[in-house]
Amino acid sequence: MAEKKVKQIAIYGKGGIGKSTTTSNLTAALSLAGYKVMQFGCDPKSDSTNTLRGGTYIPTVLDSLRESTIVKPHEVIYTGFNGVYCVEAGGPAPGVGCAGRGIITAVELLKKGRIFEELDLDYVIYDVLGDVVCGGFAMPIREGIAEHVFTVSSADFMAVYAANNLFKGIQKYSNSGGALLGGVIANSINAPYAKDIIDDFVAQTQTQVIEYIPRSVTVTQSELQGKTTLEAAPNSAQAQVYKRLAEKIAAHTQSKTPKPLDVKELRDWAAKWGDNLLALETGEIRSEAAGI
Amino acid sequence: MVVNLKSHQSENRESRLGSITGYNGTLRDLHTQSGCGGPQNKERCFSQASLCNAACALGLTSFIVDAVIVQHSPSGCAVTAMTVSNATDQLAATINLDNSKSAYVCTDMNEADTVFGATENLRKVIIEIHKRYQPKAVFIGASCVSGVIGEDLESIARELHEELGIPIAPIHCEGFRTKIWASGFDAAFHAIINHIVKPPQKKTNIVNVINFFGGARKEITEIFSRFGVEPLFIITNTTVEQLSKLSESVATMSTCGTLGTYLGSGLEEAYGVPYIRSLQPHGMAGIESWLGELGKVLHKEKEVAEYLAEEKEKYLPKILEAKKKLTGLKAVIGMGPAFNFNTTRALQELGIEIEYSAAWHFDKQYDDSKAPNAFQYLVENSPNNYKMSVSDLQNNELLNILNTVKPDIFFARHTGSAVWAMKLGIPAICLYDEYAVFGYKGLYNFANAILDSVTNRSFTENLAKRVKLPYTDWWFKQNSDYFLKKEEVNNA
Repeated sequence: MAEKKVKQIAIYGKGGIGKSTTTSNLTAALSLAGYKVMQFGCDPKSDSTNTLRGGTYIPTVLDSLRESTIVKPHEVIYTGFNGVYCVEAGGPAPGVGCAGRGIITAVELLKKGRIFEELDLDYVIYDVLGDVVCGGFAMPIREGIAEHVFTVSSADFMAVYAANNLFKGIQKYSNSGGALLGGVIANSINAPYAKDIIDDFVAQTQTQVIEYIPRSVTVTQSELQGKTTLEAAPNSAQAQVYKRLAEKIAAHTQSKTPKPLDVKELRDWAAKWGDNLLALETGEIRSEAAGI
Repeated sequence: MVVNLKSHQSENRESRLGSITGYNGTLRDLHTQSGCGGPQNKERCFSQASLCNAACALGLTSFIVDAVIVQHSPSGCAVTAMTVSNATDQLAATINLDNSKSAYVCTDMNEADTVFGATENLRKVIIEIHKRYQPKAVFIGASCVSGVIGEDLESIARELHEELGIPIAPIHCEGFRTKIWASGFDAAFHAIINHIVKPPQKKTNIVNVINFFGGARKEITEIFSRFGVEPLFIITNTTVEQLSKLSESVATMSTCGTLGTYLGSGLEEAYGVPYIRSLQPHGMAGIESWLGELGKVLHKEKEVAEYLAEEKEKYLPKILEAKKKLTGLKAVIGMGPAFNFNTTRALQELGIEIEYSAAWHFDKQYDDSKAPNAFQYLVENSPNNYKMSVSDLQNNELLNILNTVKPDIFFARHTGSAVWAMKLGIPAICLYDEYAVFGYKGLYNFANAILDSVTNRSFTENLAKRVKLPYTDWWFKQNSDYFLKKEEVNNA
């Protein structure tokens, strides 16, 4: 029998955009759908998997590196909600060392151990810190580690800017076996114009929105209990949104190379939307962006 | 003045002095280009291995007899320790110095150190080294890894200075900072001026002589005694205590313009110690300029003139006799720029024609914003406008040049490059001793050494017959500047 291919997915996005929340709920939803899932937090803060484990922290891969260059699986892999596997890369204290190198090291250590195969996983989901600021943060999209990348973005300009930077990273590695882009997970989409902004951005960059996720107080309430929405409020409308996201990602097979905007294009694009929003605020009706 | 002592680190030569490592042309073309905002550096599209500036920075400081070098790097960077450990012991032994307080150690940064930072480990190493060797100062050598991850060497140095009560001096010699290894000398001297040298308590009759190994220690001490001053050969085999008093000296001079510029200018800027700008003491014009300028600062012009006249009387006839046998010989020279220009002048004094000159970098100016005296002298006085290349010791280019020119003799300053000429059947002399051409007497001895080399050729010829070079016929048919990119990149 051919060895099962583990589907590896990297989730990127600007810090504070709801990346870990979205990833943890995605992990939980995939697990509830019957898949064996590992969530791999790639953030020195090592809090990606907290809501899968009742709000608790776990020892990290890089913590174990201090002791030995061989990772013992039981030291770094912890089970959480519905049996999902939780791993945190970890990293240096703020202001010292090299977090980027840390991610490279942590991912390589786990790869070397053939741990994914041993656990017979269906999915590994990397939750990667912020922007692609240096080589380390590009690790999950390089060298065929993840096949599909999704980016969490709101309609805020800085979130879109980070997404566009990620697209540049993906484009750079696209010819050398790197991951390709599955699409944008549009988060905190409540105002009508927010959807239009994201839709316009994905059209410009030749990608797609895989799911729209509204801002919801249910998410906050769940997180305050140290839980995902899937665990704390499985029957809520928001939980259904995450389940739908999981179904779409499970069905997703073909990722593509995006067409990121260059600096001037991005600035012009933002300026155009600035004008549109100003017109909306002052009551000028000039396009469908007004939501009428 | 472009030495900025307020900064934690010295600026590299490329940006501070407009120095370059890529050029091919002639002596006077290089001078012309230097006058119009250039010369433009030409990048290479292929480069052989070269040298890291950390080797210069830490190699030099490791010769201080009672200081410890702690290189904050992976262990491979500390290869310099291997090359200096024997030499430091041997040199100290020759002049009865106790160097038991000196050591060269490395923090052996590994992957975990890179990820998490390793300043705590660095701190432990310095404390341990202080316990074991009781040095009078510790130099922390930076590395590419410590630089990339932003290790805060300054804070560690400040804290440990307070704790241990000795100077702890970071040397910022990260390898990626510069292509010019001599930038490492500047980095080391920056640390010495800022952390070791103290404000003067009094003025002394000491002349700081910046050099490498002090080979002519005895001779220069005797000469200087005629002018009422004493030389302090720095920084090899000096103590931290001696270095702390460099500010009290009456003047600073150097046997190498490349080596001396930063410390000389820095001491002048910080403490008003005059730095003597002159030719270096190679050959006749060199010693006349070197001692002549010292005489002016000391107001001992008469004594200097007397000494020079005695030497001239003793050696000039012999030099002229030797010159008859050497005149017309064609030479290639490959050295760092300062020794290159000074040795070239001495060779021309012996009637030898320089056909091609390779300099391992080129400073269009020193830290006084003026062109190096030795370069300017050649531009004005060289009988021919010989070909010049600038490379960071790209051996393939050097071999191409030697194979094309086929000179009668090749002059090197590094043992490694002399033997390559010999493999081509070209006699070579390695001027490893910086005082090999010192003054009249040195020039006369040098003339005899050259005569010996071009006459006794059997070893060179036999070696050439039995060596298979790693270069292809194709390479020897190309111009030596084949790998210099045609578009010019200004890194000034």
